[in-house]
Amino acid sequence: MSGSNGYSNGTNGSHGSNGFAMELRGVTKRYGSVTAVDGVNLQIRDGEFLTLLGPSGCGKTTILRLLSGFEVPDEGSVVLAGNDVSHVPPHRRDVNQVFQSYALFPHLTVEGNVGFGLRMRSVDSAEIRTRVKQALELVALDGLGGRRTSELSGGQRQRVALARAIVCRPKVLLLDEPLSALDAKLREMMQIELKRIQQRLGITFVFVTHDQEEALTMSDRIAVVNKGRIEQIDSADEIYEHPATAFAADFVGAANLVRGEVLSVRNGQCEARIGEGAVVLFRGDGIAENCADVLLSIRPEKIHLSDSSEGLMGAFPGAIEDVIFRGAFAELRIILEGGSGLRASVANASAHRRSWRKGDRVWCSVHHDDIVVVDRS
Amino acid sequence: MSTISITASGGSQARRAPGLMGWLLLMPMVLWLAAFVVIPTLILLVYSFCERGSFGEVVYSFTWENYVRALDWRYLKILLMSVWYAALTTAFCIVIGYPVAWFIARADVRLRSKLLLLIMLPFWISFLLRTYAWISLLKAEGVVSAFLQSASLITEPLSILYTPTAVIIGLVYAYLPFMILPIYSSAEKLDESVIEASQDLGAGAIRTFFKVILPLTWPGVSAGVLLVFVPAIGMFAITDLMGGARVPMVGNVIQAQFGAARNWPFGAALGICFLIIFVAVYALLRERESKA
Repeated sequence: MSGSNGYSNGTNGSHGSNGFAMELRGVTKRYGSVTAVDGVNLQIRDGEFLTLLGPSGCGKTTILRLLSGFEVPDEGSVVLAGNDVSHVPPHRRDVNQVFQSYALFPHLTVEGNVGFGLRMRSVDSAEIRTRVKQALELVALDGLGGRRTSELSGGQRQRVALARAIVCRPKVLLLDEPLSALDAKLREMMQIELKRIQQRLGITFVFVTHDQEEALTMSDRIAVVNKGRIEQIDSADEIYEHPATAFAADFVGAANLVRGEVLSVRNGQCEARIGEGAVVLFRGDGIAENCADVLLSIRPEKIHLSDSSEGLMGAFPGAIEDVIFRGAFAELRIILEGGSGLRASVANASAHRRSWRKGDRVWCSVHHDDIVVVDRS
Repeated sequence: MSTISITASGGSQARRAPGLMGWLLLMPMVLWLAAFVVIPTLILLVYSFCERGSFGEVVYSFTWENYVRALDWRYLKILLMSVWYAALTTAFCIVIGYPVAWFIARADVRLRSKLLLLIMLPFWISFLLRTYAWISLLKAEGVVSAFLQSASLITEPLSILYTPTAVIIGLVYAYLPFMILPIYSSAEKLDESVIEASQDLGAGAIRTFFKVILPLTWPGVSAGVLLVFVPAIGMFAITDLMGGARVPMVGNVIQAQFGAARNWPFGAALGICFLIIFVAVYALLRERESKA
């Protein structure tokens, strides 16, 4: 994180931009009649690892391209270190990108690729040599500088693409699904390595992915993107425990999204019926007394199962319809009285414990903090 | 460094020796090359050391005479002029053809095939007819001249027909498609994200072109150079028709030796010299390519 490695260019809060490396202010981008990005406000903090998470076609890549300068916003502005750069072309922006397909230059060697950005900035050749060498060491490719890119494996190409971008010491590094072409093992390794490199350099990373696991592993904060809007931006555990919308609840981790009929709202507590004989209690902050319906998110592992209702507050009965054994845990499908279903997962804590079987009758209970209101009407 | 195994797709595959079936499949090509390239070239080589008989027949003997004469300044000058004209033609073809090829390669897929058809359309009409069309365009009382005069852009009738300018116009016109097509094929393969990567790394449009786009489309340019330069040197029909035999190129001289002058051995020697130049140009291009 210090300047000793020759990279962190004082990116941590040194340029008087109220702690934000980059900002989108009310940015809208349309392609014909399609609105790809819809009035997005995004503040990227200095030195953070921010992930834009969303399904394909949600606009996350367009957001990245607005940051890199390959797209110009129709409305709003893009701010880099306090300056409006909305109309600054990519080659004059102090950000660099790692492309999904790596986009290495096939006519250059590994060194040629990594040094390209420095040559374009007319850095003198002795410095280029040292910086290229440092960058290759950082991504564990020292000694391969003379290779042609066609002689490298997928993982090595990925590292060259990363080295080529960070060698320029950008204020912000943009990564467009860079791990999607790698196999599962390698991807896991690269996730950890990316995080390590980011922490070591202190460069702000903006990472685009549709893979929630990737997002959870690496990010300081995650922005959940859907239909051109940012639905929620927060740390991974905040989004997991307190999803702001049904989409966020469903996209990050698994969630039961259940509709509940509001029975009472009192003293910040709310009671709602989610099925016949199934009434749940939860925090009702912000729920109006005349509210009729709520949409609740309940994580499968937060549903507590028991043989009897003894000693359980607000437990409701159900029957196990299906059990899928997953090794470390089992996924259960529970049918409540009245026909609505719930997914629950039970940790495989001990072989001695009795496991649930199809057809078993169970009592379900959920702690009131584990029920999150994601929509109300 | 040497222990890292190459697992990447697209790495070089090990070459296998062709089996019996492979050789059989190659036979037509081998026979074709032998009959129409290797044997004629050998005959040419043998003739080039022979003498001309008094009635224009080939007298078998051994002499360097023809080569000495080929290197005579009179012929050398024509050869050098031919190289110069062909080089100019090639240069114009690159300058005009590259943007066209680039535009087609980056156009919408449906538009692309239509544009390619337009490039190839002239081949449907006889080459001679098209050359005559150019003559009627360029001649002093031709369409272009009349138009320029009526627009008061020139006062005298156009006088470029039967000059080197006309020959070069004719050559560029004839060979332009052979430059456009190979450049198109390599431009079409160029990955758009590589261009974006270059811009992202700080290169503006001009530097992106010279540092990334040109090197990556160089195979197309160099194929185009071969397809234009080599036949342009040897071209005699256009020089005859549009140069009015006042702009002799080496093709005309060789044609004359085998035709009117009936001096096959000397024609053969000129042909061999000519071949050596081609091989040199080819080697030069290959060298440049392997360096890039």
